Amino acid sequence: MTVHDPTLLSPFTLLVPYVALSSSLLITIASVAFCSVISIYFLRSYRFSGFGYLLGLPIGFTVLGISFVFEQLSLIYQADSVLYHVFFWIQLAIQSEAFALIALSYMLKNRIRTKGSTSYLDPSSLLVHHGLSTKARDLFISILPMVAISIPLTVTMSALLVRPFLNYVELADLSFVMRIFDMIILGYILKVTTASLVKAANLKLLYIPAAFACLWLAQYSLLITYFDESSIAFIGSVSARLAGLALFVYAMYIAMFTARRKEIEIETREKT
Amino acid sequence: MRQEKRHKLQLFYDIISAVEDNMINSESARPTHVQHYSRLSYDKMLNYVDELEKRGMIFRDSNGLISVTEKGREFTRHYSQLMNLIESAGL
Repeated sequence: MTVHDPTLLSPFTLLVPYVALSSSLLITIASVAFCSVISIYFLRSYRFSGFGYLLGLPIGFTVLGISFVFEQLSLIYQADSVLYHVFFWIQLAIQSEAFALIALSYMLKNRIRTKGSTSYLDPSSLLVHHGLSTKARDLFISILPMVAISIPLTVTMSALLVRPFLNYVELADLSFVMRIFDMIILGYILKVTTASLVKAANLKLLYIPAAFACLWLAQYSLLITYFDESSIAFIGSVSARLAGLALFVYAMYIAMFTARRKEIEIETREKT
Repeated sequence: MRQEKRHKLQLFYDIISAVEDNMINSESARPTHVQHYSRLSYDKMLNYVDELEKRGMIFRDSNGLISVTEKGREFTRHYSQLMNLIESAGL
């Protein structure tokens, strides 16, 4: 084990250099491939349906895939202090932005549900609708997506504006703040997807909350790595990330496969 | 009980599914059967049927009986895949 970086910006530096480069390359390729598959599926769904709220998912997963590429680039250029810092900063900013974009889909869908659930024919709901607390809640629901989207860019940009040349410690602190933000955003998605699972009472929907729980765990493990420089926590983080993305792809495959199987069953029934 | 407002794609799907459902027993479906299954007013149902016919998803013969084209079948397949995907994503 060789530690290059006292504040541990990229935990891959905990590993022997050639092992770090080759293993990180494989992990990056796998992560980018998973993100691309998810993006393509949701982009096709968006193009077919035109549901605006779906757009956050393909853009979010594309940006997430790009952030993994920048993570790899920062590791490749770890000897160059400027490029290493630049790539690491970009990776931090766009990874958090990616999670915010994914959460945006869930926030927008929830907003549609909230609006749709109010019956204007029912006088009691009319009274509740005009209540101050409901208006405040509506306002909060409207503002929340914009706040979530703007936080990653404003925090990372302001850190750069205050000190144009961020050192290891400042980048590590920024990384800590962004990991916390990622955990909050992923926690929100986890809550929403778990609520859908409970509402639908369908075990098939368990994969997506599990996938987001894995992505949350990946960020949490990175926080542990930040504090105690533990390679075990870092390996756990990478494994949780890959498991989360793989689960997401598997859930989508199951969803598509089930639809196709139902179609075949109907066709067979028609023929007999 | 108040019915949730349906998206246009959902209405297309409901109409084509109603026709497909009736086509299990006969060659084509009657508009009244489609109206019953799609839970739409007759005028609205006819408007959507016109639109579906223009898009080449259904076919109406001289007696007004409706049948589903290959494009219509493809639409229902893609729509059910989309709904499964959205549901599985917890959206």
